[in-house]
Amino acid sequence: MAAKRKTPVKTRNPDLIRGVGKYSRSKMYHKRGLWAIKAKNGGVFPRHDSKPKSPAAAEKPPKFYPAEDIKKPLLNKRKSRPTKLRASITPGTVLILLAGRFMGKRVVFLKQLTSGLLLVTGPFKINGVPLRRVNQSYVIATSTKVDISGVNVEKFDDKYFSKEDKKKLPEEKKEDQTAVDTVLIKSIEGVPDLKAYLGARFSLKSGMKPHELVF
Amino acid sequence: MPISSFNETMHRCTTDASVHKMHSMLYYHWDTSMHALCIDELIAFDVSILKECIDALPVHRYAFKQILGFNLMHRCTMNPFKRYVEIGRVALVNYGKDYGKLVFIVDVVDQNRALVDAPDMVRSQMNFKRLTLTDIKIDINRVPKKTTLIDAMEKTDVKNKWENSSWGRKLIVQKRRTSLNDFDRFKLKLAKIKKAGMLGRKLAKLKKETAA
Repeated sequence: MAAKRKTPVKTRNPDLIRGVGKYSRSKMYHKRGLWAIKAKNGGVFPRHDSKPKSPAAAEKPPKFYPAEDIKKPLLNKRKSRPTKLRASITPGTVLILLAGRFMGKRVVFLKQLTSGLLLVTGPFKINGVPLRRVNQSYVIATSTKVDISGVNVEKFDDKYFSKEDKKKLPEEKKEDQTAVDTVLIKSIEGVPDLKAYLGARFSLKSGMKPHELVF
Repeated sequence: MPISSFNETMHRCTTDASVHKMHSMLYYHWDTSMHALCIDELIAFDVSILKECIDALPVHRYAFKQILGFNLMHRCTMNPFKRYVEIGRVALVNYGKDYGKLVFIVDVVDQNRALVDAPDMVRSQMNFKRLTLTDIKIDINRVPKKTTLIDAMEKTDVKNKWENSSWGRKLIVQKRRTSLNDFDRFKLKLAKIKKAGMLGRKLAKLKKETAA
């Protein structure tokens, strides 16, 4: 595809109503500068004749014809990319987990991994949720944001979460957890009541209508 | 229209003994002011003169006489209605696209509909069923210009009257409650617990003091 312009072209001939432009043919001729193109080319429009075709190489008949016509598979130009992230979920958003053993826990969103899953942390010391992957569909995004600027989440990707030893958690993972959390906890403690908020679970009480709640 | 001039007119009507003149005057006044009278204005009326006028109206104007008489007499005697549909009455829209807006009744179209206007909307007709009348009323003529409406609105300070009325305050609280964030709801919960705790401790202290 040709390179896109930085600003899209504003139409030179705006519609008065559908089908009727503001400027007439002669006005448009002048506006488009066709007179200038002609003048540059000595009174006529420049002609771009097709180049004379170089003689094509003599085609040799193929050596092999298959017995039956083989069907070519259909073209698939799909590119794999992570799930589209909801606009309400940005790094630092407090999410409410809706399923799993941490159901109802309020948790801080760090980043979206290449598989589409969300990387999330409690922080562990506040509510017991470690660095974990979570599906976007099982999450409610609140409008509360935590300042996440001091946290480095570069090293975490989907490979990090593949388990070699299913029984014991390696020490480095514990260190990674504390490394991420200490910075986070400092920014959380800056906001009054936020630590208690993240430590509490969300639940629907009597009279709460989820479709009317603002998160 | 000031009541004093109406009384004067009425007086002139009866003394003049010209029924036609009385007719036209009554019609004129009906159009602009009759349905805008409230009970305290009526007390200022000289009701006896009014009665004479109404009785003197010729028989073929029966319907008009009935309506005029009924409306006036009705407001004088005991009646359950306090808020009337009148020009300048402020109403709350309770259904539709403009739900929750305060609007001014600017004209009456027919038995069911009013012409309604507000500073931030295009003047339009609305069924009375979509309106809930409030206590607030402004002094305007039938179908005023937008700027006149806004001036009259500011003169009686409708916005502040509404926001300080108990109805208005309740609506504001409702709106605030629905707009609360999840975090806000949590903070509210903490505040309620704290308040209950303080009250409980105070109560326990008072109990101990009275028991001792």
